[in-house]
Amino acid sequence: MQRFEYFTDDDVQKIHEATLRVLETVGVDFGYEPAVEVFKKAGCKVDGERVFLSPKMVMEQVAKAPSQYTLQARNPEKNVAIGGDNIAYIPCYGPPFVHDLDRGRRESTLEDYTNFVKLSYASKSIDITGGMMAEPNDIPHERRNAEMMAASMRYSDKPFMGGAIGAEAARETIEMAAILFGCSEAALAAKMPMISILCTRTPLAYDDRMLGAIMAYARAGMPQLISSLSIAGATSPVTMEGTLVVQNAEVLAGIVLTQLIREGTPVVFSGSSSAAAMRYGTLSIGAPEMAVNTAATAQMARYYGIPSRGGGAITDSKLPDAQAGMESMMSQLMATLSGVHFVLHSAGILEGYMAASYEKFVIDDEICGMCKRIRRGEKADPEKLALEVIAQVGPGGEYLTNMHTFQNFRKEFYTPLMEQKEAYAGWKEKGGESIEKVANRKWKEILEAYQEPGMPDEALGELEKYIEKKYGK
Amino acid sequence: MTTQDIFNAVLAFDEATVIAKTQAELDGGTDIGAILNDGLISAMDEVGERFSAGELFVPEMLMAAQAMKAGLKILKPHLSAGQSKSKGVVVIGTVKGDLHDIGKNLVSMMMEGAGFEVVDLGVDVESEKFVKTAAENSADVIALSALLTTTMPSMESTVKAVKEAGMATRTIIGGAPVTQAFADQIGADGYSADAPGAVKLVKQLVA
Repeated sequence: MQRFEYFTDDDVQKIHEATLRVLETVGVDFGYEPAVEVFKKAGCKVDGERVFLSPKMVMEQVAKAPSQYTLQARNPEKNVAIGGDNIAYIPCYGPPFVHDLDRGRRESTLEDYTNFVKLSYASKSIDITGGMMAEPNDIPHERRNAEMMAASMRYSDKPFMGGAIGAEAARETIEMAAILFGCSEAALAAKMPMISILCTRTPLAYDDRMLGAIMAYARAGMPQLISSLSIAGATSPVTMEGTLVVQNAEVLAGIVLTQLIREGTPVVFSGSSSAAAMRYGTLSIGAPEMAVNTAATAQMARYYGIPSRGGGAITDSKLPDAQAGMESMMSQLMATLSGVHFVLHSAGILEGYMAASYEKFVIDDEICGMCKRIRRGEKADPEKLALEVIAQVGPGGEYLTNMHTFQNFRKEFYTPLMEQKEAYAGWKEKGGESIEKVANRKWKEILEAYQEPGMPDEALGELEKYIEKKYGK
Repeated sequence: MTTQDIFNAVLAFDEATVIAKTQAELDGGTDIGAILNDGLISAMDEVGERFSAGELFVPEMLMAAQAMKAGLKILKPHLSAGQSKSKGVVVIGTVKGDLHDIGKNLVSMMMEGAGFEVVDLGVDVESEKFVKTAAENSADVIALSALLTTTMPSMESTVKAVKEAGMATRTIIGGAPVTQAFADQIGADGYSADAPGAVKLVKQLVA
């Protein structure tokens, strides 16, 4: 498959040059003394918490970040390569609410989190279990990270996402991962079983908690997404180009920090900027401008030779409805076509990241399957061109009974999870259900059929002990 | 009506013309109350209506508010005590531990535009600071903002601190993860999902 390029090479170059100018003359605020010290020591111009980066420093450090690496799962068959010609889908991240058709919208719990881990594990299209797919509001704040990590480790065998709120959550995630793999923290750096998302405080700033976590993960050599979510017209210029410059400057400044701390720290160049909903002054993620930013983020990351993150099956809709469907497919497909490597929020998001929907998780899983089919690409070789078959059937014939069809249709065509392709009468007879209704049944079936992937009793026991020692029973 | 030009200039988001026309009316001896009410305030009422009707967007509303404030600044030294009285005093800030302020700033600007006196404490604000500032300014309302679920508990402690101080000041809360249910749970006097709603809410609370 040819990659989609939104901007011309000339435009990419101009955005890059504007970014370097911003980093050198406007600067970025790092609200965490230890981070400012790192820049000072490296010889950067610093004014209070504002750090100015020379073009030379930026390009030298950014060049040290690897262009490809592999996250090792506890089941090696589920290792995930980040970068190169690979694409990984990762479910929703961060919502404090959940939604399902039976119970409506409510505050999410640890049970919801665990259910999403299970749905993620069961999905053929989701590559990484995810993290904070729904906030466990029913347990104390200090305990949340450890419980989510334990659930991700136990109920799925795919790579997972680590905690991000402060150095303490990062340390805890690293310690628990070392227990899971029964190895030292130093050995963990070679395995990289998880990846975490750390965010800028746009425009052009980082706060103490994110910097604490960025630095802790970088010291441990753990991969991280350095992520900017600028809101065009609110936290960055209203133009796509201006927003890209702000996003680019933030992300590059964060990547420079990671490389100064530990050369070769694996990172993902992560952009999720979108437009402001000007009727309300709030963020809109189901916007075509988001799709533009996604394609451009992939291009900018390619320019720097770093894996990229962008897009996702995301929507502003409050329900898993037609709006949710169109916005989600727009963004997921754009990420897939433009060469994004890490597609966070590939399943479940509603309400501009505020809610995770069970039904939408399954519908998005279908979107993911379709997008991966498109991404797989074709090859115009003799077998695929099927000249012999065309000659054999000739004008006016049929292909349904042809051996070529019989041998190839399963691998050529995507098989939907929720088949709704029959004629009206058949559909009506089966209950005449909308896709949301089918999805409602589907997620329950998946959870019903779920079986825990085997895990060494010892690791499980050690993880439980770790949590109990730290937070009590 | 000579104040019509001022009214029109606010609706055209034209700050320079608002300033020029307000000065001209003032110099020409037009009644100050008329300039204020028929020119500036009624223009903002109209802006509010057009905003609610979906004809205007947030950046336009804020630009109109800025133009209105520029006119008000010229009138201020000439206003009588009764005329210069604001609709109420609002102390606003993002709670302890939270550094997000776009939503808070938007609410702040829209409240000013609606004629409230706003004391903006910025981000990462301690409970005691809200209480102290509200007492010093005889505030009618304390407005609390949070974007992170991890900082929502700071809203609860601030609301508690206001109650413990025995103040009559009402508390309202807002921010993406915040809900009416949470407001009820922590005993806040109000919640709004967005900035225009917050202005309406404060108007109701001080009425």
